[in-house]
Amino acid sequence: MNVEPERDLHLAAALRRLEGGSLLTEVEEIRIQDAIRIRAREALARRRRVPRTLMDAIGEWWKAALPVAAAAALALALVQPWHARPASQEPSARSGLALVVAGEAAEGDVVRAIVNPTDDIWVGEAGGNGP
Amino acid sequence: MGDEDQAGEALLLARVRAGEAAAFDELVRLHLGRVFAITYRVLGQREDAEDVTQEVFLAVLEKIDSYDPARPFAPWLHRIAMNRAINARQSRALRHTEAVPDSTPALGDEPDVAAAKAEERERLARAMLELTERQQLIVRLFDLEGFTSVEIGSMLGMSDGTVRWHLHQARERLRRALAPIEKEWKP
Repeated sequence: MNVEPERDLHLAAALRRLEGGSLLTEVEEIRIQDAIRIRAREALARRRRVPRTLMDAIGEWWKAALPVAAAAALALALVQPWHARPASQEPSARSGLALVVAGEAAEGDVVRAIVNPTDDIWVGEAGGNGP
Repeated sequence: MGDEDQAGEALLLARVRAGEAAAFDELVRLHLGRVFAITYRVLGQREDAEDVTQEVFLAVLEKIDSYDPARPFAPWLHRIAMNRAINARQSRALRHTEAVPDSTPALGDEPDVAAAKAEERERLARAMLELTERQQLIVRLFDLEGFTSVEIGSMLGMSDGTVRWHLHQARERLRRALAPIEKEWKP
């Protein structure tokens, strides 16, 4: 069954009499072509607009993103000074308890450090065992 | 298809990809007949086949970026046509797909010839209904439309050997149905 069978012309003729032919008349052909042409117009126009290469696409994206990024950077630069404080006014990075554990605290600070519940997280920082 | 034809086709498809309307018109003109033959043989109605044929070419325009230019275009197109037509057949509440015969007895037919033709139609129609839908389609595409078993296999997602086996089965049955009247009247 590896050989292509021959066409059965008698059967084909009988089937054509039963089911009709599929040949398009000139009128049908023109009608279908016109309908396709109209319906395809938008998709073809879209294709003509689409950037052809990846670099074009990146270029298009960058052109749109650049003004947004510039505006965001400017806004950040304007807002930042209101929140910034001089380093001398910043609270010490090391907590009271950490100073006690390290043996660097003054005597009164020991009691303050012990009763301050938020300090336990800094024990580990001073070399002790964490919670 | 020769190398030159293939190069011409590749160029045409590249122009379609770029959105050139004249190239798309040419593509439609070249393939319209075969696409219509497929949709018509699946749907059995000219109007439905026309609608689906239009959809096929619009689908081509949408999907053309996924087409591999290293492969021949026609099988890819015919597969789209077959899938669209089968989907349309399944999803549309189609009118009963009784095809319009193109052979109402000719005016010049003798009464006995006209009667034999009518009987042939009746027997063939009955025998076709006894085939599976796939076998009906294979017989139509092979004997009526002249597609090869390889082309039909590619459209239906089966091997060409399987297509030939179905064709053999279908023809046997149809020939058996027509045999008694062949002696009375031969076209």
